[in-house]
Amino acid sequence: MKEILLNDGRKLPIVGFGTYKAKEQDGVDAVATAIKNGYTLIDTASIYGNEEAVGKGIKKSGIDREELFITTKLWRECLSYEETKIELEKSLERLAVDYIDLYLIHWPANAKNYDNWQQANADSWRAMEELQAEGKIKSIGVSNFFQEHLEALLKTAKVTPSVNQIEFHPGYWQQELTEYCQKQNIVIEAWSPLGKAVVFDNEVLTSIATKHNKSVAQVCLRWVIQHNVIAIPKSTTPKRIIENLEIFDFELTEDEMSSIDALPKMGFSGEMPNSWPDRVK
Amino acid sequence: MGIEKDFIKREFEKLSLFLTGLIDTTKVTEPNEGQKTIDKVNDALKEVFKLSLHEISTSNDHEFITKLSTYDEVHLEKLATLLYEIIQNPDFTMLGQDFEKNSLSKKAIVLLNYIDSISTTFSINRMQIKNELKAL
Repeated sequence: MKEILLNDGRKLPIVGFGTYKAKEQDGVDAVATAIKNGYTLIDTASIYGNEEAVGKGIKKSGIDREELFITTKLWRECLSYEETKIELEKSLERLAVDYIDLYLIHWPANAKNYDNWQQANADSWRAMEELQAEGKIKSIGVSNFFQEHLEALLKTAKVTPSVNQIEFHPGYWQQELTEYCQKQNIVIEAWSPLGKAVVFDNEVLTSIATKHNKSVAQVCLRWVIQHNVIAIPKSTTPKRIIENLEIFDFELTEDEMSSIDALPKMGFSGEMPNSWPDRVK
Repeated sequence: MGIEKDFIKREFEKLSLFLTGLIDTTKVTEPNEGQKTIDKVNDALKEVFKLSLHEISTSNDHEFITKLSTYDEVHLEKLATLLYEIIQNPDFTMLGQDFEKNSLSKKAIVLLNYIDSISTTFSINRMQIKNELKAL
């Protein structure tokens, strides 16, 4: 599978397996199925409440831990130096691993929830830099950071985030933020790459899918990776888990890419870094 | 078998280090030392790739890629970086006798496209270098 080079020299596969809502035995089975079918990048988060299940799924797969890239995330209500270190230990324990490949700040601290959001993000980041130096985390990054959060973080950061995981799908792909991150050599990962399936009935996407004899989901994922963005689709259905990887035998033309780029806003989650916990329309 | 593998690995790393050193040389050129650095780069390129800067900038694309196709992607990536460093440094490009900036720039893009075609790894850095060269 194609990989993307991070700014710290490590590489990540261009398609990963998202585990949001994959809990308990379903989560264990989904992760094991995904790994057995070729996924090596497994994405979870402490807030998903499934790190234990993910850890068990990894064991069940029988694949060496060293072959895998495990991502987990620090929850937005734990943004301080001390809490970051405590939370990482908890994640390591729940996942039953001794290092994390990629650790992300899940959402930036914002003015609505933190007296000094810049400091909160900077303190957590400093803890993550130390944990990286200790070898407990291989790569460090952020999620849902806007340019303003990144610029503030970069004022004190010793290590530039390797990744920014953001909402990215046809109908909502944050083009300016993506371009800003790529200029900073920060790789974009796409959460919700299928736009909550809202995009599945879109005529542009269905016609492109028909032309390539692929599903709309596969077209969405292909569009994501052709933007050199890592796609992290989630599913607990074995058929879809496998289908989501079958995107390397076709290519979207420039016109098709442009027409998907230009789709009107749809499938937006309503989650914004400066508004949480509220959603916006 | 093990000894042979170790030897190949050592040679691989030796070339990587050599090219990295060459790139570093182009980054810290003393005033009026531009020609000296270019001479050093030319000697090194002739020794390693059997190509001078002049030959790179004047060869046709197919010949250029054919000559380089036996080299590892890692080393080609370093060669592309080296060419980029030379192209975007006015200390070198104003010399204008060993190569023509635009031709060398086009050849660096050809090389980067070739690396893209053989590599299974996407690199933002590679993309940025290519974009900068295209904008020259």
